[in-house]
Amino acid sequence: MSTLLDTFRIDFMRHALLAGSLAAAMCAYLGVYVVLRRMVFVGVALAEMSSAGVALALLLGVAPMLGALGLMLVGVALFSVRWTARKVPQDTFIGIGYAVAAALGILLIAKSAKGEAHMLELLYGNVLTAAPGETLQMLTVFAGVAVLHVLFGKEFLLASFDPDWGETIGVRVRLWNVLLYLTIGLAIAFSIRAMGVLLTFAMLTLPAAGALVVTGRMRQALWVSPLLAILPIALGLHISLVGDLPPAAAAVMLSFLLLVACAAGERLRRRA
Amino acid sequence: MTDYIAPPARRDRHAATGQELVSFTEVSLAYGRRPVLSGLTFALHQGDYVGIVGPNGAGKTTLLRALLGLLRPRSGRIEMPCRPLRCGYVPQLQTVDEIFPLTVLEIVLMGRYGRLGPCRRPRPADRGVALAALEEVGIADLAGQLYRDLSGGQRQRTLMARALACDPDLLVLDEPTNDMDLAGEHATMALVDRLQAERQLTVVMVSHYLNVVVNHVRLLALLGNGDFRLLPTEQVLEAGHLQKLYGMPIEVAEVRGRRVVVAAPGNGERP
Repeated sequence: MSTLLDTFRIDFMRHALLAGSLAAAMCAYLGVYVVLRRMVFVGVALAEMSSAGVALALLLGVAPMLGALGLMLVGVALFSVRWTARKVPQDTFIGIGYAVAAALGILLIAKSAKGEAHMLELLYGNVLTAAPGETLQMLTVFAGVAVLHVLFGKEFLLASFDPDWGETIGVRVRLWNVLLYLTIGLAIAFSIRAMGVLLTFAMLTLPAAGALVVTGRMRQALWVSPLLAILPIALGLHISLVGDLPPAAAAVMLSFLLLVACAAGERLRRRA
Repeated sequence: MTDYIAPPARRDRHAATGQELVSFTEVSLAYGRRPVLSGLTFALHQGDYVGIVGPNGAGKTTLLRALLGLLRPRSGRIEMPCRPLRCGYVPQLQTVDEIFPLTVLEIVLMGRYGRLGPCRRPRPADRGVALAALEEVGIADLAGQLYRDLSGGQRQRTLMARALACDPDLLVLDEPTNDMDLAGEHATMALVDRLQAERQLTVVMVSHYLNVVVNHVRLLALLGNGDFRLLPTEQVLEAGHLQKLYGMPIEVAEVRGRRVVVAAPGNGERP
């Protein structure tokens, strides 16, 4: 019986663990904002737009990351603005963005000669095939995102929690809002390449929910959430190797079980 | 136990009592193409205690947003001779999202963010000011509690402490007694009275609870009757303005020294 250590003695599995953990930890940290701001569907819409961007890039014959970043920026521009239309609520625009991006992706893939396999990879993810160069690129971008969050954490918090108060005291809430969306968009665009849409979306929501349940504090949740993301990635990779299962789906299910365990543990703690 | 730190002494940058802080001249306000208020002309002075009353939907919050600089006028001028005017805003409780697991102290510290600027974390001195503000509103013992675990009155005090932590020239309260029981309402208004008197703060409060406001503010304006004027409270109550605003006979009685505004029974109605 192969142990966890045996699994990560294999080169490509060790590399998959590094790429997956990086992407999952970044998404899980930002997921705390995503969940608390009730913008989970912004996450999935941005992910879908990045995917459509990859499809567009494949069709145009340019680097897929360029396409992903381009459409992600369009999504950030659309979703970070407070629309003042009175007849439809704000989240309708998110739904429209998601539906149009998904349809656009499918149409573009249908016209791309080598697209279908890539589309499947995007949807179900294949952390096992992440290239070392891509991981290094991701590490660089995520280091930048992390620095922004260390420096401007209080501005991001203010723009999320009480934008009116922020504007009253002279904080440029719109700017910080756009920057926060941008960091989320970057994390999504690079994570999709490393682990696919499904796992990226899962890592934006499940670990953050677990961390918020367990800690009950914003500051602690921001640090606990990445830890809750890395564990199912490691176990998911191991199970996928041992049981010949898709790693992304395995990691999502493990992350869900971890969330259930967090909720149960918290309930028991409250009763005690 | 929290050490009491005295609130910051009023410094030179604060205007002298009676000095004009902000003036509206023929201001019209709108959301997009939808006009909400027009022809607003009034001035606020240092030390004023102002109530703005009107029925729901009259544009009270819109006026506050313009006062706070959150909404630009469609036409007219808003001038602040004592720039930069520091506003402490206490929003309606329902507008603050309780899902964020933040402690009372973390929220009150947000009162200092405007002074800190980007990249700088609150220093021990900021923490001291935040704790002093909590002491001032009487909830220093709740500093470590989660905001969402507090009662409505305690939340209101938290938001007041945040407003005080920025050492405001102008304290703006939006429906401060909404959804409160009689005791909560009384305690909240007593606190606002005390803060206004002790700090010589300029206070502007909007509410649709006329009975709450008329017993506290010195200047009153009625919003919704097309005739927005800031007048001494007694004058507004006596001159038939209320009948015009509510479109029905209104009586102002006095019970144990407090004014009570009631709808007078019309013809054929039982008193």
